[in-house]
Amino acid sequence: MSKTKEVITRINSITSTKKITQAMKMVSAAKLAKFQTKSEMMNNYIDNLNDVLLVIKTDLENQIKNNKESSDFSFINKINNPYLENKTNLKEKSNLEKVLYIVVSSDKGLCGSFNSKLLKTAEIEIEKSLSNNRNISILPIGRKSYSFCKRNKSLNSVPIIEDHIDLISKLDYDKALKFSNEIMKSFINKKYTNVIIIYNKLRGSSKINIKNENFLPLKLESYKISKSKLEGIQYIFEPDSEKLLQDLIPKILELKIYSILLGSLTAENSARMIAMTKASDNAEDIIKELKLTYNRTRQAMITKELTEIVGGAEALRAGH
Amino acid sequence: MYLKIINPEKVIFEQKITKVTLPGKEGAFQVLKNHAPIISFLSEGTIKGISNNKSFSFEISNGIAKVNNNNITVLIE
Repeated sequence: MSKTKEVITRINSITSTKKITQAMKMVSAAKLAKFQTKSEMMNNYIDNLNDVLLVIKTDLENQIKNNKESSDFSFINKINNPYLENKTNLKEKSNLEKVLYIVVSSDKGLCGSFNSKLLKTAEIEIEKSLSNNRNISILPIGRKSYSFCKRNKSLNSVPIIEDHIDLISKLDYDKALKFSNEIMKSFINKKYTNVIIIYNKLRGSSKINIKNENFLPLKLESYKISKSKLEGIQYIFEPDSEKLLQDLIPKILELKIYSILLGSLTAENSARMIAMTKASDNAEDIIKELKLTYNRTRQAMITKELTEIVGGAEALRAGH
Repeated sequence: MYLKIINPEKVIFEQKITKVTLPGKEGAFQVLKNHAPIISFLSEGTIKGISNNKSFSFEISNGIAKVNNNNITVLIE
């Protein structure tokens, strides 16, 4: 008797758990859709900006190619922009590297291995940097990332910047812009020589990749283009292409952080949706099994009672 | 000719147009059919144009315009 009661309690508790996980799944699905559209808009915008950057870059490269006197210099050394990696920056680099790691996690858990994998990668990366005698600061974004930095003993000596933990809880464009401007300013003021962002990014509909991106200094070499796209088109530039480039670089940097944060939020909700779908499925499996056990014990009890009654009746008849 | 005005959050305008005037950083300029490819920064001003025989206008604070092959893309903030 007591066993069936126990099983019923378990069935009830797991049913209510299932209800919760299903509700969370629905919520994440809705949020995922919201962030996905935002992220798509943003990426579309950035793609357009990158296109412009590439056109300008190609034009500058052609200009330098055509100018024989300066053919020794790669074009990046010629352009003096504080955000770009150039020779003077490299010289300082050998003295002391001051690296800022921005680690973007989620605020809440229950999203599978979304945070744990990311934070493991961050830990390995930062420890590697520490052993190279770099001067490191960490800027956590998201509660999980913050508590990880606080907990981790090997990061005890590393200063943690706590001002932006809540940046993703109610992310909007202005907030993100303000944040990127602050980071860019501290880079210009030589507070950091490198800024690296570690974050999750959704690939396809469900695969999550951990990205480790050099935010600053900006490497223009990484912007490449398929040649056919540009061939034959001679653009007019207003103002000239170098001025355009100078103005464009801060713009691209400003937007990059917002797109990264949006990407991380999209990935988080996708991860949570998958985790909650799995949890709901598991709950369903357990409920099935428990119901089977319940029915079996119930049946066994009935059989037992029946044999007892029959046995008792037989005994009575034998007594007469 | 196709004009598309976008900001990081949404598409603001996307239509076939017959002409448009853009507030370029080095002076306003008008784009008609088969304009040469151009990339220009825009300064504070108004984007004015005609689409389906109706005029339209947008106030902008800054932006970038790219014209190529009768496609005009304006990126604003």
